[in-house]
Amino acid sequence: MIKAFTMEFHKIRRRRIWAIVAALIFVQMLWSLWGVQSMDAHDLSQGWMYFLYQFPILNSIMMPIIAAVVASRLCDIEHKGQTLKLLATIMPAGRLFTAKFLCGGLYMLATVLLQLIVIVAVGCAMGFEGKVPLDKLCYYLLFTTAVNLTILLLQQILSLLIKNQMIPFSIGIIGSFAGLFILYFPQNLAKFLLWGYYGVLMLVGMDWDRATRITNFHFVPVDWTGFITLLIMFGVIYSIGRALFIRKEM
Amino acid sequence: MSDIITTTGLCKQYGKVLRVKDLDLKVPEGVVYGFLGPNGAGKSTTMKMLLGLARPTAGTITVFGRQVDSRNRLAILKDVGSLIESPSYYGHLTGAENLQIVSTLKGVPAKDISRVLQIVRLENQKGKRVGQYSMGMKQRLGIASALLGNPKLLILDEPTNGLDPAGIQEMRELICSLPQQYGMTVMVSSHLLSEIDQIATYVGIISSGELVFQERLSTLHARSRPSIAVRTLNNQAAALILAEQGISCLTQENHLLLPRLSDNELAAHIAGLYERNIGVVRIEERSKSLEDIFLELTGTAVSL
Repeated sequence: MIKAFTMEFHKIRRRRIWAIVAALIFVQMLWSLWGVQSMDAHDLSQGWMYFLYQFPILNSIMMPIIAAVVASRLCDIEHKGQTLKLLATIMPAGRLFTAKFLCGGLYMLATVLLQLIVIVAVGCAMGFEGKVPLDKLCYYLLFTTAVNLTILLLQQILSLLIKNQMIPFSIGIIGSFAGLFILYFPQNLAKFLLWGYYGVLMLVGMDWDRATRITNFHFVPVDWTGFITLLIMFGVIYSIGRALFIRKEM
Repeated sequence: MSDIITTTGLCKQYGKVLRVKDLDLKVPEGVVYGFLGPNGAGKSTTMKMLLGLARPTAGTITVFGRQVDSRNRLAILKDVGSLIESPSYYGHLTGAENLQIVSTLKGVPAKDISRVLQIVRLENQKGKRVGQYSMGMKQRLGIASALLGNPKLLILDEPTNGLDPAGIQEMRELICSLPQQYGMTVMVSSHLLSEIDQIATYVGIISSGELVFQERLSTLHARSRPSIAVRTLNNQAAALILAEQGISCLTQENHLLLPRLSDNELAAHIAGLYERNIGVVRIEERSKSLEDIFLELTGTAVSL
């Protein structure tokens, strides 16, 4: 398995997948800087909560697209060079599937870790009130990674099974818009849509007072039911997708 | 000589169409086995089934004396190199990087890379990205990749497709040299009769999914030996007279087809006919070309 995993990194040499991650982080950093530049004392007092509210929303637009691009970059090299029929004679298809997923997963994990560095760095630089909420950031890391990996998994299955990469990519874009749109609906509805889980697993809620036009944030309890549902979704997608890939004839 | 590949009743159905029907292949060890058939006859499908890339609808496959199933397939394929339809490669990587990936996954030492590059004469191009290779170079890289680990069996599907005449000649020489130099058995498919004629020692001919001939190439050549066509004024009586003299002959469109005879023997038999008052009006030498035989077997025009 280690060989298969390291070979995935060999295969994507010069594919510049890291550039996609870097671009995303750069855009999110600019966004967060733009958001905090005009903060007053009230805003700074709930700065951490502001970030933990804003980033999941940003993620629901951007992460599905990043996952689609990463999965597509990892899988289209196999379609372009017709290498799947060679690989099928030298390694188990299931191992290739897992190795590819772990490779893509590492990029998605790196994205969230970099995001956390941006959050902490900008927060500290701007002087957000209170200590860095490490527990909340750990939950953020766990939940965002879990949603990212599930979406990546779905994208990888589509990218491996469908030669034309425009199809999985379009599904990724539609999913990202649907994920954002569903944030405006009741949370129970969002649980039916994989892309809506950035919102389902949000740690912060927002109250906006129409009269005073003041926004207040508050921490909300973790939706463990949502998280378990997501894990079940992951398990189901993984088993079905892997089985479909193994059964695929060349 | 034992058989390195045997299949029994191998079938493959796609939808309602049976693409391969009850195929009983026998590929002897240490030969170049030419798998010949018109386009769409089922050559690639058969080869894919041998490699486990397609699941047979029915039948069994035995390679190296072991019946192939989903559990032992990869263990058996460790000794098999393959090139199916077109070469597999990562275009953004160099030739050497491509081979490094395959050698690592196959568990073959990295030093084998330079050996196979030398065999296919790509050592000077190994640092170039494969996307910039010519078709011939990509095909040679595909062969190099198949040769990694010095497999006992090589399965090559139309390896000369897309090559220029010089490339075709080079590929033929390489394939012919593999059994002697490396003790490999090579199964090579082609729709070109002339190609199989030049490289194979055994031949299997497939037509519409069915194996219509499988023997030494020399046996196929034997079928193409010339015969003597004789036309007389009474073919029936002439056939009886020749049978008395121990010559069996076939009747074909007003002619009697005699086996190949020396000039003296033929002259004596003709004189014998004159003596019995049978007028001989035509004596012709007829020979069947390999293409005629192929056509006869497959009912399809052959590509030359």
